[in-house]
Amino acid sequence: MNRLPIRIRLTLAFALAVVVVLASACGFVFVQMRSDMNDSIDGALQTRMTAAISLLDRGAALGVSDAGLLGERDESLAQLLRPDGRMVFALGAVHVAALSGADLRRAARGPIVVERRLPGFDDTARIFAQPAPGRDGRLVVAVGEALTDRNEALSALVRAFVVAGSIAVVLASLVGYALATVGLRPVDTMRRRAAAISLSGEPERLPLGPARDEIRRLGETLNEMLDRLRRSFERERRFVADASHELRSPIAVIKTELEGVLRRGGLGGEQREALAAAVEECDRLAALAEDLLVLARSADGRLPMRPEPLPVAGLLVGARHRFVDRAAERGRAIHVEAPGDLVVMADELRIRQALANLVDNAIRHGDGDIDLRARAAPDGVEIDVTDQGDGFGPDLAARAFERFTRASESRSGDGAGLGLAIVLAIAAGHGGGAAIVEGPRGTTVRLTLPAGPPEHAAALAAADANTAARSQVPLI
Amino acid sequence: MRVLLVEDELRMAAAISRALRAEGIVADVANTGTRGVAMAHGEQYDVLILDVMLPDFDGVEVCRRLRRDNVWVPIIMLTARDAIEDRVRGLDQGADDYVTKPFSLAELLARLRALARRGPVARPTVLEVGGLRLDPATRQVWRDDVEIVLSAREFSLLETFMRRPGQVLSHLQLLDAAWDLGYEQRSNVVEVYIRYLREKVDRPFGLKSIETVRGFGYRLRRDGGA
Repeated sequence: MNRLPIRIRLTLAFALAVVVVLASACGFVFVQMRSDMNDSIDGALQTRMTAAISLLDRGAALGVSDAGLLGERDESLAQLLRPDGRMVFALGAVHVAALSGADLRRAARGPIVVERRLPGFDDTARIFAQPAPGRDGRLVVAVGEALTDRNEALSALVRAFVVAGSIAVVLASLVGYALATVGLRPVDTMRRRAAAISLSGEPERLPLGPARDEIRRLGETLNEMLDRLRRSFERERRFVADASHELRSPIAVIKTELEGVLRRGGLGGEQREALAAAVEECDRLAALAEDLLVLARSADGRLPMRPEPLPVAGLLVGARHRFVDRAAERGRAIHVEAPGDLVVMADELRIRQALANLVDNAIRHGDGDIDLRARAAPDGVEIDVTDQGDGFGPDLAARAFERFTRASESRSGDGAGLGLAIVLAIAAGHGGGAAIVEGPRGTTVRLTLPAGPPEHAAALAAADANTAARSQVPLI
Repeated sequence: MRVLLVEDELRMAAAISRALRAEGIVADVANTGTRGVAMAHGEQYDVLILDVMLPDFDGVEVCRRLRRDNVWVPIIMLTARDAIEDRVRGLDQGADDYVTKPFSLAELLARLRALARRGPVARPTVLEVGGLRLDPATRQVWRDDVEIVLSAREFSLLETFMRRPGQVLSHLQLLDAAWDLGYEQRSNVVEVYIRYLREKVDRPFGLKSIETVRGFGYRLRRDGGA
């Protein structure tokens, strides 16, 4: 029962209550009606008894001519019995004594009413018996009637009760279900809003129902919880932003001082090496602080963005230029494939950073040649960065876009594991997305960005035609 | 070389000036914008290194005040890596270059040398020819105190003239300066736009500043029209 949804439970309880109420009402009506009908049957039997006794008093033999007074022959009976059960006289469809021995003895002492089955009648008979007056209990008069009509009326009543009752229960269940649904609607509205709420961005709250009930109180409590969560999320974000911001100056000072010492010279080879390494670490630290700042700001939508229409081919070629030497050192090539008229609406600085992170990842963690492909898609422009490595594997793919995720647990590797998190933050900041595309071979990370204005694409296409460049031809 | 460093962070100022002195460069330090402006007025510096974040007013304002007062010392700004807004404003207000923190000392020094070579030549951010004034950053044009609204093409045409007052510019030079390559064959667009420009810049003021030099092209009078 506890596993059933609350709506079903409410409906069942409702239906059960209706069944109980209906059943008691029907039972009461049934009993009342039977007693009324018995009363009227008893009245008729009484009349017949009076007629039978008056005939007996007159000494007349009960003849066929009098049968009308005593009721119809096949549905009724009239008998004069001795207490030992022998029939003095019988009229009607029944040819045995209408009363058992015990009933006869009781009837010899006073009037009784019994119901019993008798051969000759289709249904139970109701029998009224009393001692014949003035015979000192030596004779008993019994009149009776088959209860066919009464029983048929009662069973018709029961049938009507069952049919109408079932319909009533079904209707009641439907109404109960509808009421439960309406009553629980605020909960459902809250649930849907809660599913859509994010802690960053606009401070949204759960909608509250108009009624001051438990559901509203639940909503209020959840809203307070949301506020608390939002505040702590905000504190964390601001901490990261402040910390990385505050780190910038000391890092810059350290780097300047170290480079100053290096430039002044007069150092031994080992000292130079140590200082040069420290300068390199300063750069990494600075990059890390910048990355954290980007992530912290993107988390609350404060990442400064200056989107402008940018030709995708140019961006990809730029990314290739920056990394082609490093790739060549490892015997790997970078290919670019992009239609010349493809334009994205993006912040150049950020997109260059995102592409750089992707290509850098492909060089460091992937294998084989690297392909940068772009194409128009229904929801914007898709840029795929593919290498021929072993892929992410399901484990890593699931958390590749989280902060500080590395391919291996060892910290010896380069990079803080922020690269893909930044890519995702940048893509999301543009209203796009980033995802890992599972393919048969290699690793593909797909960046989706909003497409630029069509007139810009048209202008690019025209310029492209002018310089006799063909679209879809690999640019490199 | 003599350099003024406007930087409020003492450690950063110390680090940079130490490094500069090691290179044989004389470095004075100002800790506030006000002090920086005053020192730039008082002394002849070859280059000014300007941090954008200052306690009183920001580095962009320092640029604006110095250029307004006709101090043409080359200025290099120090900005955060993501502070593009600051860099754009700074460059538009008369700064000449920037490096982002943390910078490479070698690069900063190279840029200092490059800027020092230019010398304190007047490089006004707002062009003025007679009564005509044009601000390339805000894309606004005035004759005396009346602002003139120009289309993008008219604006770039006028800017071309104002950067070369008194020079005769040929059709081809004007086409190159203000039109894409696609317009090459249709050289009469220049005449059309010169007419538009005169309608807006000269006619309403009863002046004549853009002169036709028959057989050569056009010229903007040095006095901005008479």
